[in-house]
Amino acid sequence: MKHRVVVTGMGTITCFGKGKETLFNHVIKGDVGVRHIDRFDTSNLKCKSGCYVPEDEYDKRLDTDRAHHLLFVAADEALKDADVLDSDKKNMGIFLGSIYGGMESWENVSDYIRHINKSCHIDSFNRYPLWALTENLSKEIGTLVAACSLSTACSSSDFALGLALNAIRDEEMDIALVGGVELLSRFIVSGFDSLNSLTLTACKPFDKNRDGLILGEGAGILIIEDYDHARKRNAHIYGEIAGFGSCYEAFDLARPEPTGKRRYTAATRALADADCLPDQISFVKAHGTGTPINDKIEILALKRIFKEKLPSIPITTYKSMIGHTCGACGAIEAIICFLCIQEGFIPPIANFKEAENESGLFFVKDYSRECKVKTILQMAAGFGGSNTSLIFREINHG
Amino acid sequence: MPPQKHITISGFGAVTPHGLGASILYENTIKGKNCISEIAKFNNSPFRSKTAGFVDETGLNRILDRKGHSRVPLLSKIALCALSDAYTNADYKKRFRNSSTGVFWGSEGGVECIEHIYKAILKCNLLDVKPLEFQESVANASASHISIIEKIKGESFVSARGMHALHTAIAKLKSNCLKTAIVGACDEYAEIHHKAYSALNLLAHATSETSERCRPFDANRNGIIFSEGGSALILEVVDNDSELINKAKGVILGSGMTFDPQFGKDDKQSMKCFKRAMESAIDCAGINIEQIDTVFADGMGTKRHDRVETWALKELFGKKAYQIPIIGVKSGLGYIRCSSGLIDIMIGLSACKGGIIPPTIHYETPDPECDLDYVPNEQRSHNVRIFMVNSSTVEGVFNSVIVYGVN
Repeated sequence: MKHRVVVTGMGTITCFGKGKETLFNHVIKGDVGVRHIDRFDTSNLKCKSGCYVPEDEYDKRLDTDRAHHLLFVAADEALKDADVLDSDKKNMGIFLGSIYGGMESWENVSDYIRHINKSCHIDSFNRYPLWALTENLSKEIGTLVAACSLSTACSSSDFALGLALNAIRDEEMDIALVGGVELLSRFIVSGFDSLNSLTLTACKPFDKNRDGLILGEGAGILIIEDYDHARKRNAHIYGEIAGFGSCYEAFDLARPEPTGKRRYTAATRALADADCLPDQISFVKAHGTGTPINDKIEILALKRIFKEKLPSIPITTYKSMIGHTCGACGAIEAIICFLCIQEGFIPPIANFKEAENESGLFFVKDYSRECKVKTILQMAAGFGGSNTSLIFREINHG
Repeated sequence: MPPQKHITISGFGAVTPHGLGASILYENTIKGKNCISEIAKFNNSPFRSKTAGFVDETGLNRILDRKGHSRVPLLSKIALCALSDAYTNADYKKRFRNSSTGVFWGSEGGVECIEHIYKAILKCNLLDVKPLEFQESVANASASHISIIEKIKGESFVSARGMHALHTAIAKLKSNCLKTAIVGACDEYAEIHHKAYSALNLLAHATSETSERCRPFDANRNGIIFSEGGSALILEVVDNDSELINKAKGVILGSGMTFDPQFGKDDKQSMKCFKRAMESAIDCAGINIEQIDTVFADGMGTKRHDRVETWALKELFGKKAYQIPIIGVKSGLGYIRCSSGLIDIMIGLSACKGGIIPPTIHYETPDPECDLDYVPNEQRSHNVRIFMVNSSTVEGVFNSVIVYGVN
């Protein structure tokens, strides 16, 4: 009998500011957190906007890499939300996903090597590696369990959730801190700009006029634990992580597999893991980046999964509101999903007007839907063909 | 002894500064060869530490040209060549090309690509960025190449640490999610790494009395020498009565991993952490500690790491610690960050077959705090059957793996 794994605490910081309530309040209204990027020179970039954390949300007294800062803020909220005992912190697993980690520190060290800057804070040398985020957070919390830094492109923090889920089920630990962080750095914006993936108008996932994605930054942290462990300490439970599935496409580094077969495989593995049938899904939180190719392939995958039932399944995505937060998107979007379960809402796809040749599909448009949300399918896909799916479910104490 | 199912090592491969292939790695290691050289890849004059270990990229290109894959960046070249070596070693019969095989990889990302893109950003000319270069810079690019070229469609995972990849692969294989796991890691060494480690005072350097060397457990050790390279292990879940068990190179019996959040502040605490990792591996293996006949130590070459590891070994083994050979291969190979531990497993398996264990070279001055048998400077005939591999990181992660080698 599989252990049940539940979410007992959440914390986040995004373009809308600190806190999960702040995030959710904006998302259910369909607010868009896009701003003109003024943090660095964008004059040679085609896309000059992004969803970045407002400057006044950073505590300038803290002299640390911005990615680390975002992570610590989100982790602090999550740990307080879950009211984790000190005794639990020592044995807490930490699983974090990110694509580029402390990229700002990397840029600092790189500028120093090139003599662009005359000096470089000593912390930068210890902040840029991928593992540094996780291990510095581990030191802060005081856990004795080796932390895991994952990087599978845009499915990184979804993968982190899956790994932590299995670690608790396998009784390696009772409680874990899981999440992701990504910075809207000059590097990442320029990188996506060089691919011509970024929108030059507005991000409109699944819309017939969609022309690309908008990048975002932020951090999301969830405290997840064994159900019995949570009940024993009377923890508040947001919901259950019921299933995880993943599948590599083995197709191409840049282009996704065009039939959606592998995304379908990841989703069916997750559904099987959760003992869940497709028609039990209340809504799909799609990857929904807003690029012509991704959204098309995602619909093909959804058609394989739900077949004739698809028109009755609401489909939404949050990336047009908070941006594509890359390695952090799985965690931040999972937080929104669990609040949807708790509050009974399905957020809209901001900027979506009309679908492309997909008449009859239920894209959540214009406003949130208020309804009972029992089970959510969250999908993600990353460069190189890394596909994941997660099933989130309302808690049933029976 | 053995349970019904085993996690076997069907094959292994390596790319290191010693050369291309696990065979040459073992041959050079037992000869006590030092593959570390003066840095030519970037200007080393600003640095006190002048050496590191680099792979032969021309050799990699020759191998990959034959297969039509030489256009990938260095990091992926290292990964693909290490895997190619492992497949040859495993008597590969395309049996891994299915959805029951996963890739579990350790990588920090493509430094060469990141630096090139950043240069283009500074010149305000993104047209300089080559096609696919951005995708190649991401940490899972090497694992993706492996899955694409070898048609591997199972669950896969990329971590910043190779030993974490191994630990996760073992868990997946034990839970019957997968039948086969390609486990490995790859590292490139660039100026940014050297700059960072130099600034953090981690690197070995010459003094008025000694030359710049990695000297694990030696009284005059003063730091780490880093290298680039890659490793690949093919793990398969095999039944006791399957014919595949006879082809296995070894069996992973158990693994353990811990973290010391206070590393660098309290060495006794670190020693307990390292010991716990080893105990965990032994418990998981279900063996008696007396059965361990060799230890491939982490042997990082810093005062702290080597002292902590020695204490932990003494606490764990008691008097027996003085009777087991403790080998520090980083002395001649350098520290290949993501592959650390995985490389030692290969050398251990080769030693099981060859009957010769490599020395810890550059051991000249005994340290009273590190007084175990480190197999100083000369290879030794030794019957290796069950060995322990330890590895750690500069930040305080400790790993231990117990392996049964077939000879």
